[in-house]
Amino acid sequence: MTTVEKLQEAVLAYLYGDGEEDPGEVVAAAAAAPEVDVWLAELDGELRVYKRAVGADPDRSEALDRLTVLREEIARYRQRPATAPTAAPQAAPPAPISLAARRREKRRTYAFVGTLAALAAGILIAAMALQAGPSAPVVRPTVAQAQRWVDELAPGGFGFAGEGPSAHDRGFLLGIARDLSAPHADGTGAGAEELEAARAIALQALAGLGYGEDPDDALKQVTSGCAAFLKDPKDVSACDKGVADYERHRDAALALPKDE
Amino acid sequence: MDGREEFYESLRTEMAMRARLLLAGKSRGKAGQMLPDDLVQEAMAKMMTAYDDASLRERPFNQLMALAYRTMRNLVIDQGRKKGAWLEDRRDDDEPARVVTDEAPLPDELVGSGQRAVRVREELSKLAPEEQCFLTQVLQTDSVPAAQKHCGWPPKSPYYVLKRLLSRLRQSLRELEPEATGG
Repeated sequence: MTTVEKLQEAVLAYLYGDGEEDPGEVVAAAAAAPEVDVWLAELDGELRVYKRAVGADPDRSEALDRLTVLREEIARYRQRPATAPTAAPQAAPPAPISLAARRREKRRTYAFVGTLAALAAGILIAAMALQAGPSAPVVRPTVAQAQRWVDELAPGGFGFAGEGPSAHDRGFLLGIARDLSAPHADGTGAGAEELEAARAIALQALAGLGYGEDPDDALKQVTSGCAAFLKDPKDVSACDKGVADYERHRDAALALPKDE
Repeated sequence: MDGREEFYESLRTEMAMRARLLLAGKSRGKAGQMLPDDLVQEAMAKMMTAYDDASLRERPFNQLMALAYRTMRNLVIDQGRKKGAWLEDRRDDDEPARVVTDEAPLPDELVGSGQRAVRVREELSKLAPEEQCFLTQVLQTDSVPAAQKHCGWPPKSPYYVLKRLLSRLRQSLRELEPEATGG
C-alpha cells in the first residue's frame, strides 16, 4: 500500500472512526502530500451523493462536517512557518485496525523502517568514506590530543556537575569519540587504545542521561548522532553545534602546523 | 519569547488544531457544546496539574501530542456524559440510524443530480449483501464501528474495505460522467 493510500485510509478512519487515533497526524501527513487534495475535494462531493442515495441527509452529517474541518486544518497547517518544529512532514498514520493486524502492521513498519535506516546508514557511511578519500584532508587527533581537548572542555571532569555536560559539550565529545573510533584513512580500524579512549569519552558524553555504564553501548549510541541520545530538539541543535565547533577546533588545531 | 513560552505556544497551536478536529460536527444541535479554545485551556490545565513542566518538555513530540489528544478526548467524553448528550448521539447507540427517507426524492434529485444517486443505488444493489449492509450503514450512521457491529462484517481492516467500496462507487459515477455530459 502506498503512502497516499495509507493516508486515504487514515482520513476515512478520522471521518468514520471512534476518535481513538490522533487526527493531528493525519493533518500533518496530508499537508505534506498535496496529491491528496483532489481526492479530498472529490470525496466531499461524492459522499453527499452517496448519502442521498441511501436516504441520509448530507447536511446533518458528522463525517462531512469533519471532512470540512479536516480540509481547513490541512490548509492552515501548510501556512504555518516552516521553522516550527512541529511543521515537519510526517509519515501517513495507520488507520485503526484490529490488534492482531496492528501488531503485524507494526512488525512490517519496523522491518521497513529498519531497512530504510540500514540503507540510509549505508549511504552515509559510503559518503563519509568518499569524503575521507585520498583527496580529502585527513585530520584525526591522537589519543593524547583528544584527551587534552576533553580536559580543556571540562578541567574538573563532567561527573561532579550532577547532570553531566551541556548539550553543546556532549556534541563536542561526540565529535572526538567519533574521530577516535573511525577507521584510519588507509582502511585499518581504530587501534585498541583509540577505541578505549573513544568509549571513555562516549560515557562522558552520555553522563547524566541514564543510558547505563556499558562503554560499548555508549560508543554506539554516541556515534549514532545527537538525536540518538537527546530528546529535546533544542538540545539536539545545541549538540549538533557542538559537533560542528569540535570539527572546526580540530581542523584548526591539526591543520595549523601544516600551514606554518 | 523565551524557550518556555515558545514551547507552550507551540503546544497550544497543536492542541487547538486537534480540538477543532475533535469537536467537528459535535456541536450540531447541542446547546452548551465546548468550544475548541475552552477545551484546549481545560486540557492544558489538567496536563500541567498532572505533569511538571520538565516532564512535558522532555517528551518526544508524538508522545506529547498523544497525551494532549487523549486528555482533550477524555474531557469531551466526560462532558458528553455529564450533559447526557451521548443519549442523543446516533454514533453511541445501537438504534437504527435516523434516515430522511429511503425513496422520496431529495431537492437535488429534483433538479437533475438524481441520476447519480440512482446510479449509486444500482451499484449498491450489485454489492454482496454484507458489503451492501456495511456501506449503507456507514453512510447512514457516519460510523464504521457501528456499521461493523450492525452487519457483523468485515472481520478486519474495515477502513481498507470502506476505501475499496467507495472507490467502486466512485468508478461507477465516473462511468456516468460522459453520459451526463452528453459524451
